[in-house]
Amino acid sequence: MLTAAAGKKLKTAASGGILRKHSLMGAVIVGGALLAGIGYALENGAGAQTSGEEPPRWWSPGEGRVFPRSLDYENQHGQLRTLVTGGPMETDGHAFFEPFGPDGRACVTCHQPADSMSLSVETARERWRDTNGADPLFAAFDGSNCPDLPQGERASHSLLLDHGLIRIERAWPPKDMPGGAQKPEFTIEVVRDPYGCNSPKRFDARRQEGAISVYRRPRPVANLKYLTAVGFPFDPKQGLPLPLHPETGERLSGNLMADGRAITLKAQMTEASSTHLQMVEDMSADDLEEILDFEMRIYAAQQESAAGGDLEAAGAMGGPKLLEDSTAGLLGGDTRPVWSEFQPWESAAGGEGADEKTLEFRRSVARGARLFREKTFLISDSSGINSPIGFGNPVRNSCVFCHNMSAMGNDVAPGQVDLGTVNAPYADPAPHLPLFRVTCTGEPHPHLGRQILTYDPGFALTTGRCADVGKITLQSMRGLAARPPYFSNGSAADLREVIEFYERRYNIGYTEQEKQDLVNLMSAL
Amino acid sequence: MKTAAAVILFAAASAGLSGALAETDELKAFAACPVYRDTDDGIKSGCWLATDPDTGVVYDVSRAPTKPDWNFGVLVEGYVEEGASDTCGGVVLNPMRLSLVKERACVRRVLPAEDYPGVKFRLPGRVVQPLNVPRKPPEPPHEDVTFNLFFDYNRDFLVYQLDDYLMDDAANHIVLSSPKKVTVTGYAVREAYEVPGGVFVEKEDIAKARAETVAEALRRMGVAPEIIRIRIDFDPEPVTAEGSSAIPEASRRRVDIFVDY
Repeated sequence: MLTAAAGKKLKTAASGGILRKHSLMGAVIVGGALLAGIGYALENGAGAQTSGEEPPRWWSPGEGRVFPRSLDYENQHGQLRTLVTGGPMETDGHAFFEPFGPDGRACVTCHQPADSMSLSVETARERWRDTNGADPLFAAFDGSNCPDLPQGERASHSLLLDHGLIRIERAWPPKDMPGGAQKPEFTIEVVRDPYGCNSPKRFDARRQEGAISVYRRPRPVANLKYLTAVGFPFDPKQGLPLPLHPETGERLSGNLMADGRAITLKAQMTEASSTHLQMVEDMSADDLEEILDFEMRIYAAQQESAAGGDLEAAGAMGGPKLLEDSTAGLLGGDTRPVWSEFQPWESAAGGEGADEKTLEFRRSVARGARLFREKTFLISDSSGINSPIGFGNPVRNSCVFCHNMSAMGNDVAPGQVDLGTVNAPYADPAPHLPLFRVTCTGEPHPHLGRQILTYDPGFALTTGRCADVGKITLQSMRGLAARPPYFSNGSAADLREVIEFYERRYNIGYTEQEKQDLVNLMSAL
Repeated sequence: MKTAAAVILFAAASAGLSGALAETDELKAFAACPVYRDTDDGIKSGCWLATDPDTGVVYDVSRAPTKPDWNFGVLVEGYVEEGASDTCGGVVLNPMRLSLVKERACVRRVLPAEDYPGVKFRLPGRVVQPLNVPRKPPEPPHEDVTFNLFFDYNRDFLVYQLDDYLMDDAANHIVLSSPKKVTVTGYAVREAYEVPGGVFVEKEDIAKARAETVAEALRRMGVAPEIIRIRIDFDPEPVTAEGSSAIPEASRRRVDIFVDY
């Protein structure tokens, strides 16, 4: 494992031409004071120096700044904090931060610290304004609606600039389907193709060959200890034990990527390097290891609430330190209940010296946490929940039915479910997205019949199974305040719209107060 | 044609079954459309009801490992639980099995709670332990042994909190005792099974699908692929073993894992 103090490697020109410096971590640290909008809390600050200049919010590839142990960024709901275990960490020459491919991007381009290691739509817009669209973020391959479009025009990047979406190109039929299936259980037709990226030259619907373009939000690269944690040997949604790591034989969580196409972090990096970074050669083993090391050490969560103050005040346990310190992969029902970190705020006391407005916000967050766990509703016709597991259709449960991992709120089991965010008839209208008609050739879909209209076949693009159409791996719930819009296709512009979607989908009957409590909770995660 | 009349006498002689059955316990078996009663006593507390079309008796089928889907018919097989209180509006079947009958479309029917409290969720007895709980190796000397996994009608899906538990037990036994060979036999019941409300014949290829599912599960649980043999067969005799719920016809829809030392 590469530590923060480890010496750097010399990279050959053939693999990117980057000469990495030897670093003496802890000797030179950028920052030092809480700056307007950007704060550097230096827990390892011995010998720290300050640059005297405010570092930009945007991390450009290859700029070589030091990633502090603790780093704060303001957002509309307060302040997000990232923690790097063992940090500070020099990024000069680091594989996560260096531009490898011809498009000038690095991993950090779409996984920005200020955005909880994801990318908010507002950040994309700012970057467009600041660079007049010249930033590598807007690379033709996937930072535009389609590479064939004129790249200098804003309209060609509307999905990224208006919805925070990156183009994802998936080969069809899928290769190496799980279980050794040779043929997909459905065919795909293109109903609507607003940008031409699912045109016949890219996807031959008659022969069912080519590549399908879908558009998705970048997932946050933080708190990955939780997303890779394995609690139980079985995946109840698939009715099989968890898949095994192809090299080590270890069980895999199945909680990576919206469509589960990469089952290890290294597989994800390799795929991303050839697509998002447009690298011709694979990343080296050392680079993969260096990125993996960083990804397993970076935590992100909201630390300050604009309305509720310090999220660790009065006994609460908000913020990323809890994530860093806790054991991953535990069911909330077995250990610390999900979001019970805010239970101390249930009482009227809620913090010495805080004004009533602050205290009421804190009580609202605590109520939201309890609602999240305890308010039950009928969940129906959701593949991955109501089928194929025998829970029944419908089944009465609460948010923690799926968001069940203590401290993190993802699913302890592999979390591929169809909430209806991308499939008709439940998905919100999205005329800006391509629309596909899926026809099941074997058994019909368990809830949606033989033909399905979808904006994104999701997990089914990986498995080829009809029952998996529209299943999307559960989203991370930490650091939400820093990275709107939400859901895999950005269909919820803000936290309120997330709640409204669930209300429409499952007819939950939330009161106005309950909706606000849940929004306040999510803003504090 | 094999007939399961409305009343079937079955000698539940096996030890270790949950809810020991008397020799005269009556097996109820029928097909129907399910009805959901929207009770709310916490998570998973809703009631499922089904009416025997021959007698008109409404049964509470909520305790099945596989719960109904309001869009499809169900095949119900189970025993009346003596002395069980009526919390849903039906005679309680327990133990029982329930299979979805996808070829039978049903109208969604939801009843209000109507003062019924529902079924308070209790964690079932067969729950796979977390991975941090060490599995105990079987005591030597190791003798040839057969494990059974039981499936719903016409399905090869490992039933949650039943087959996964049995599979975990079987796979750990195998992994921790190093047998020479493991033979996985998938069965399908091709004999027609007639109950009030329907006649059921399993697909021939479900035998292979069941065997392959179990073999894949064993491989993922760490059993060496080279010692696994797969075979298929049809119309086995009933067995009474853990997980069979002492329901003879349901016990025929199974996979046997024979562990050979």
